[in-house]
Amino acid sequence: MSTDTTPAVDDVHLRARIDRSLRYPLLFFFTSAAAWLAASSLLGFLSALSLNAPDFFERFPLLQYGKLQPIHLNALIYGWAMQAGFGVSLWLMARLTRNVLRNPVTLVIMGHLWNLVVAVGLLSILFGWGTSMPWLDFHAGLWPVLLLVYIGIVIWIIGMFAARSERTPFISQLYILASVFWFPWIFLTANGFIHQDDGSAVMKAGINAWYISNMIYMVLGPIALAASYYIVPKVTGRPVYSYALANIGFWSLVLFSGWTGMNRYMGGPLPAWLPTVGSTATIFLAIPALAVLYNQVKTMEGKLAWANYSPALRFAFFGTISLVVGVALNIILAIFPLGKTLQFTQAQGGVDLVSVYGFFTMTMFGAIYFIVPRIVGCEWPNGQMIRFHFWFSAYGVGAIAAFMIFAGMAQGHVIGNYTEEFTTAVERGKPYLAALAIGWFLIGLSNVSFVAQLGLMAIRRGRRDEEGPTLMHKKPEDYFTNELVAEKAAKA
Amino acid sequence: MNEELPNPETTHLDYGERSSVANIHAAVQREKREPLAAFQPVSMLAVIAGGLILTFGGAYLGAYNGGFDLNDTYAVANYEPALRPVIAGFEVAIDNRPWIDKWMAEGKEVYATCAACHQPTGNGLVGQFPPLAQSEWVGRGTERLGALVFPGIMGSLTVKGQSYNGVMPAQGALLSDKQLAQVLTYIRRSWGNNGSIVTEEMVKYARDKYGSRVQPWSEAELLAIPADAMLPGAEVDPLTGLAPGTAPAGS
Amino acid sequence: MNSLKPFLILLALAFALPWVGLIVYPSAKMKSIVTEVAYAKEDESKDTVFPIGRSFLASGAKVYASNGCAYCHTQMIRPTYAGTDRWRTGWSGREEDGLARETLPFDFIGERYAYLGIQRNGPDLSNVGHRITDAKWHYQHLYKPREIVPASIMPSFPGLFQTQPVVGQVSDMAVDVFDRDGIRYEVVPSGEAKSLVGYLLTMKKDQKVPNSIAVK
Repeated sequence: MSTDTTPAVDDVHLRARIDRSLRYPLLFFFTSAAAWLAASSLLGFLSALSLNAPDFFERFPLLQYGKLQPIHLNALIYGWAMQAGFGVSLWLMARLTRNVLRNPVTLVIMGHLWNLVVAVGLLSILFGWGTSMPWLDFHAGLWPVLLLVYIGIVIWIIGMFAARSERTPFISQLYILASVFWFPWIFLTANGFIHQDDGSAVMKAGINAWYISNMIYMVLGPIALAASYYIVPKVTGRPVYSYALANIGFWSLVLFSGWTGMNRYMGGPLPAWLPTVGSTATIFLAIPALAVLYNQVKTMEGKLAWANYSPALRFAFFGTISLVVGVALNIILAIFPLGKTLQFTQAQGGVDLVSVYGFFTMTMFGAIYFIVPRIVGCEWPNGQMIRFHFWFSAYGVGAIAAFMIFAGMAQGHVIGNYTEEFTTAVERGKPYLAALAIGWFLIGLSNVSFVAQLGLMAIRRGRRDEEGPTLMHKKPEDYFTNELVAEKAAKA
Repeated sequence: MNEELPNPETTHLDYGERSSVANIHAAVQREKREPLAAFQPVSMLAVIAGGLILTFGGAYLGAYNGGFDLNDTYAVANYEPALRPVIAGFEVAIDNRPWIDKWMAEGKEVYATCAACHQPTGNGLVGQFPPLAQSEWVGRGTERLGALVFPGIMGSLTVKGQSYNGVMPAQGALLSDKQLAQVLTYIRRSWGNNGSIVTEEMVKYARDKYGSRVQPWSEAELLAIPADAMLPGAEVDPLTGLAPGTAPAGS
Repeated sequence: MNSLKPFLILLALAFALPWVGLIVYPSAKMKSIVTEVAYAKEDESKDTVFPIGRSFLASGAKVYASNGCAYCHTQMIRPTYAGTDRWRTGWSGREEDGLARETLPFDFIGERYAYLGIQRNGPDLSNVGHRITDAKWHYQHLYKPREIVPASIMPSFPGLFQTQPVVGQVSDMAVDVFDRDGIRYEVVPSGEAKSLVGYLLTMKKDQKVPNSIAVK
C-alpha cells in the first residue's frame, strides 16, 4: 500500500463543495441534537434525584420519576441520538458517494418538523398521555408523523447512495444503508403491533423489548460504526486492516441483532424460546463487536498514540471499546445464571447507557469534532475544552455504568433474598441512585463545554486554522498530516 | 479546475465568506484521501474465537429453549417449581386471616384421616360409624372428648339415640398436641356444632392425664367423666390465638 | 459488494427472518389464546373457565400508563429457575390455597398491553389485590406514600385527588381534611384515582389456568 495519502486536487475541491452544501442542514441537526442532549442530561439528573429525594419533589407533581425518566430517555434517543445520526450519516454518505447535497432547505425544514414532533411527544408524556412503553412513550398518535419526517430526511441519504460514482461501497455506506432500512421497519412494526386494539398483551411487551434492542444495535449502532470506520482510517491515514473482517462484522451484526431484545423478559409469560433466542443472539453479538474492535485496533497499530491528540480518534475509539463492553454486559444480563439476580434492577438501564452514551454518543462526538470544522471553515476554539468534554463524559458514563451495575447487584441480592423486606432493597439502592445523579451531573458539565464550542462554531467564531486542527494536546514533532502541511512546516 | 494546489497561506476561509469555493479551507486541504480497505485475511485466532462464541450461544439455546413450543413459557423441560428452602427462624406470614381461620383450616387437614370413618360431612355411616355433627360427645365438655381420642373406644356406644358397636383406634400416638387441638376445634365448630376452641395447652393436659392409658374406653367409663367438664387452659382470642388483649407479634 | 441488488436482498432477508419468526408468527398465534378460553360454552371438550373479574382494565390501565407506574413496578413473577419471586411473601398469589404460581399469558387476558415492567424500585404488583384489599390504603398511599411506608421512594400523586368543601359528613375515602378561611375541606380521590385503585384491587394473577388453554 502506498504511503502517499495526499488526495488529488479535484478531490479536494469536490470535498469543499460537498461540505459547503451540507453546512446548514448539518449545523441545524448538530445544534438541535446538542440542545436535546443538554436537556436530557438535566432530566437524567433530575430523574435520579427524584428517587433519592422524593419528598423534595412533592411540590412539583409533574416532576415524578414515572414521567421524568421516559422524558429523559426519549429526549436522549429521539432528540439527541437520531438527529446526531442524521447529521453524521448525511455527511458520511455525501463524502463517500462524492455527491453534493442538492436541496439543503428541505432538510432543514424536515429537521424543524422532527424537533416539533419530538417536543410535542415529550410534552404529551409530561401531561399524562404517555404510554409507559419504554422508548415508545409518545402519545400513540404521533408515531406516523415521526415516521414520515424520518423518511423525508433519509430519502436524501438513499438518493445520494443511488447516485454514487464509485461502484464499490465503503463499509460505512453499508452500515448507513442498513440503519435507514431498519428504522422504518422496526418503528412501523413496533407501533403497529403495540397500538392495535386486539392481539396478545404479552407479545406486545416482548415486541417493545425487541424494538429497544434493535434501536441500539441496528439503528444507532450502525451509524456509529459507519463513523468510526471512517474516522479511524482517515485520521491515521491507513486503510482499514481487513475488508473480510469488516464484512464479517457487518453481516454478523445484521444477521444476529434482529433476534435480540426479548431476552429482557426472560422468565416471563412469553413462549420460552423467544427470550432464549434473544439471549443466544446477544451472545452471538460478541462476534461483530470483537471483529470491529480488532479491525480498528489493527488499523491504528503503531499510531494508537494519536488518540491522545485527535479528538475524533479518541472519541471514536472510546466508542468502539464501549461497544464491546456494552455487548459483554448485555450477555451477562441475558443468561439465566448471571442475569436473574440483575433482572429488573438498575443494571439494565446502566448497560443501555453504555450502549447509547458510551458507544453511540461518544462516537458521534468524535464525528462531530471531525465534521464541523469542515462545514464552517474554522477550527474548534479550544483543545482544552475538548479534553474537558471528553473526560467528564467518560467519567460520567463510566460512573453511571459502574454504579448502575453495582446497584443492580445490591438490589438484586436483597430482592432475591425473599426473607428480607422489600424496603431494604430500596434503602440499599439509594446511594447508587445518588451516584447516578452525580454521573448525569458530570455528563451535563461536559455538555456545557460541547454546546458552548458548537455554538461558537455555528456562528463561525472558531479558531482560525493556521496551525492545523485543534488537538487535545500539543502535538509532537512528527505529527504531520500530509505532505502539504509537512512542507509548510519545514519551510517555516 | 486548477492543476496546482493553491498556496495554503492565502486560502484560509475567512470569517467573511466568499461565494466561490475555489478558496479551500485548510481543514479540507490537510485531509488525507478517503479511506479504503486492505485485504488482510481473517486470522485463525479469530475463527476459533468465533467458533467458541457460537458454541456457547448454541449451548445456551439448547438448554433453555422450552421445546420451541409457543404454548410453553417455561425454558426448562419438565419444570416443577422448586420448593421454598426451609430457613430456620423464618416464619412466613402468608396471610392476614384471623388465627381461628388458619387453626380451623389446619384442623380440617388433620380431619382428612378421620373422614375415612366419620365422613367429610361429619355424619358417619349409619350402623357403622357414629356421627360427629351435633353429637353430644363432641359439642359439650372438652375433657370427655380429649380423653377419648387417646386410647380410642371399644364396645357399644350410643350417639344421638343410635347404637354403634365398633372400635375407634387410638389417635394419641399418631397426632401431635397441636394437631389434636386443631382437629378437635374443627369438629367442635363444624356441621352445626357450636363448641369452644381447644388449645394445645388443653390437649397437653389431657395427654398428661389420659395419654398413658392403653385400654380403649368403654361407654360406661367415659360416662364417668362429667359431660360438661372442660380441660383447663387459658382462653384465647379467636383473632390472634393469644390471650385476649395481647397484641400480635410484629404489630 | 459491487452491486446494490444482492446487498439489499440479503439485508431484507436478514431482517425478514427474525421479523417473521420472532414477531409476526408468534403474535398471530398468541392472539388466539384469548378466544379459546372464555367463550367455549358450547364446546364440552373445553374448560369453561372465565378469567376472574378484572375491573377497570381499560380505564385503570390507562391511568397506570399515564403516570409511568411501569417504570418502577413490575407485573411478572418468574419461575424458580429464573428468580426467587415465587418465594417472596404474597408476591405469587395464594400460597395457602396452593394457587401461587408464576405469571402466564392467561393473566393478561382482557388487557391491551402487558405492563411487565422494567425495574423494581417498588414491589411487584401481580398479586397486590390479595395483599391489599382496602381501597382506602391505596388512596392514602397514592396521596402520601411515605406516611404509609416510611422507606418508600414512590412519588406522591396529588394530581389524582381533588379538594372539595365538606358537605355534611367527611367522605369515607377522604385522605385529608383541613380548614381554610373557616371552611372545612376534604381531599378525595378523583375518577382517575378510583379507576386506578379499582384496577389494583383486582390485580390477582393466581387464578387456576384451564388445562385446555393452548395456542392453536
